[in-house]
Amino acid sequence: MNSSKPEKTKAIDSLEIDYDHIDVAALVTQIQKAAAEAPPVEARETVAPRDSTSLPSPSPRDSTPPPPASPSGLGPPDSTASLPRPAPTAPRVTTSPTSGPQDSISPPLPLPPIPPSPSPLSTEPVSGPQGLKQKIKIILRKLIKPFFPVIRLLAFPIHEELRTTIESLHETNMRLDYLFQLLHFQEEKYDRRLESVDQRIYRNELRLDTLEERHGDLEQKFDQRLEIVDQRIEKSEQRLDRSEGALDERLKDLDKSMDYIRLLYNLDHNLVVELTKLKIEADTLKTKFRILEKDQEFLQKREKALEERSAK
Amino acid sequence: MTIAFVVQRYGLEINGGAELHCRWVAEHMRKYMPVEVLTSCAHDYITWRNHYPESEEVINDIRVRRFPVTKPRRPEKFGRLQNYILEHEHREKDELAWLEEEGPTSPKLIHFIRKHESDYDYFIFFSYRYYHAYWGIHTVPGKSILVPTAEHDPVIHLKIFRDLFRMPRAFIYNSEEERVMIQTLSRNQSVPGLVVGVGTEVPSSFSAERFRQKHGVDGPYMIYVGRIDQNKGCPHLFDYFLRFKKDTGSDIKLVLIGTTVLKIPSHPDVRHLGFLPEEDKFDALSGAELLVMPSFYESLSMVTLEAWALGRAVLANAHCKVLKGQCQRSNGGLYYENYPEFREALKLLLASPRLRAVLGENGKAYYDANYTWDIIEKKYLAIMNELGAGR
Repeated sequence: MNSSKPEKTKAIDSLEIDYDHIDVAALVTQIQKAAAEAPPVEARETVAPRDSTSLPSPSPRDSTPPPPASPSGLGPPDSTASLPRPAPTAPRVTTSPTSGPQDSISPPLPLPPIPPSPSPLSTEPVSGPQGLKQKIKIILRKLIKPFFPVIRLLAFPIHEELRTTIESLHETNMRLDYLFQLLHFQEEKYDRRLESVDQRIYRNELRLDTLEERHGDLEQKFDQRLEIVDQRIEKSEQRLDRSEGALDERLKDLDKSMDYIRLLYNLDHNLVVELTKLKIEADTLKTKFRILEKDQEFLQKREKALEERSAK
Repeated sequence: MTIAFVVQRYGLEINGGAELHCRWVAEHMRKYMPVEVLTSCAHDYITWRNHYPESEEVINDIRVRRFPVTKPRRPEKFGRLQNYILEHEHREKDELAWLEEEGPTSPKLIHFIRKHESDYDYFIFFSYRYYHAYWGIHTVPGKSILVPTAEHDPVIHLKIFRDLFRMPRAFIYNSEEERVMIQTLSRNQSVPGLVVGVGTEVPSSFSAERFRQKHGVDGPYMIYVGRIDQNKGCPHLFDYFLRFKKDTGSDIKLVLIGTTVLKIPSHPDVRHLGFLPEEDKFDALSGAELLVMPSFYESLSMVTLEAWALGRAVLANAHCKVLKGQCQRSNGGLYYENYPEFREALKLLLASPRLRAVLGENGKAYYDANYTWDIIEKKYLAIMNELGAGR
């Protein structure tokens, strides 16, 4: 009996897994769906380890855990990291032309006016409708007025010093505020200038990179062409060498032929000499032969004559 | 061709990720060309205090030159400086002051590089955020190759590093995510780079049974390997694991291997075995149901590659883009963003041995295709040859 599903695919707890062509990304997606559909886990305390002073407190919700935060002590680094790292957020660098989303230079505040000096602390009584308290104050002043010189003698230096100190502190504060704002304004101005310089440098670097690339490409092409030319020269030289070799061979052959001709010439000469000698010898022999023939004829005739004589 | 590897610490007993990465690559590249290492005298990664003498030594047939650190790091001052530059508007000189405090501050090392520039064809700098890499690259930009080992760290957004990333001759990235992050940040697409990563030294034999007998671990367990501290997401791991146990009643155990700066939960199913030698680590990995990686910040995660080399499935923190990307590319692991997803993913993995096996096989295939030492060495040679041809 055949099952409805092919053998290679198996469902485990409603997950379809193709073992022959397993795709981890797809499988993990299924796991994520299964995890989302699973009944929510109740908030619980985990088994707190003993002496777990270094462990962070477990989260009651099954939320995405944050990366490890900067611990107080020394977390020994990995091979590449050194000390424990803070949460991964990009730093803000004012000098960087390519800062990320953390770039947060606020627009410059307008410069405040220089604060007036002395301070605007006022000793004038507040004007306005006089209430009961004001009236009592006025009456008391009139009563104490004769004793003012004594009171001033006793209290004036302290009061005056205090008043002067407060005034000068206030003035100093105003001036400090002004200077801080001025400094901040100047800093922002220079930061913007530095940023623009950085951007220009970066653009120039990009251009340099492009030029270097092109230079590299041109060099490469030039090298390739030089290589081709070198190869052609090499081939021509090889052909010339081969031709020279062939020519030398032919010259050698020619020399051999010349020697051979000289030999033949000598041979011919010798043959001719020998033939001539043989011819002369042959003629001589012919002459001798004719003489001997003649002698033989004479002798034959003499023999006949003698035979005839003897027969008679 | 002579190559110099420049790294913050170097030694057989130093197991930090970037330092181990550098040592392994140097030892493997030694086969092809003369290799030297320029490093500091530091052993402690927090204070950079001088531990080794200022001298030359030979470690595994590689000449190592050590230079003293002029001033140890003061963690409190460093923390204040870092908080300041990350939370306030500041100048470039503040960033350089931070870098000076980050260390390991060794002007002699930089001076050596400047003086002996012509003795080396390339300088390979490891870890972008340290003194030696920043000033070293500024000294010999035309001969520098940077292995950034960068993570999603707030300091990477500092202006000094955005400029730094446009300076080297080439980059050797640990992952595609690292490359995208650095290129997005500094727009340095014109600087050649290659995603290489690092291989791992898998022993020829490993035995889960041996591990179980030696450490008394029985029953199914999932494993975490690495330093146990806050930056590695371990508090969340403990929280999620304990809640999982309570919600599901599963008999799965959690085995932790590595040194710790946190308190381990005192639960019978949480076993902390401390720092173990490589043999035991691989034995443990081979017997685990899966590897769990809760870290938020990784540039490559060598232990994840080791798990895949042994055909183990991985359950990773999706907040770390590198781990998530690796799981998706390899189809060798699942990932989670919060506790419900962790619970469902772990339930699924524990319920399906076949799924774990398939994920493990995929991870192994991905590892064999990208992270064996042959492939790593070829990539390093390719990038050096490409640079040499372009000269």
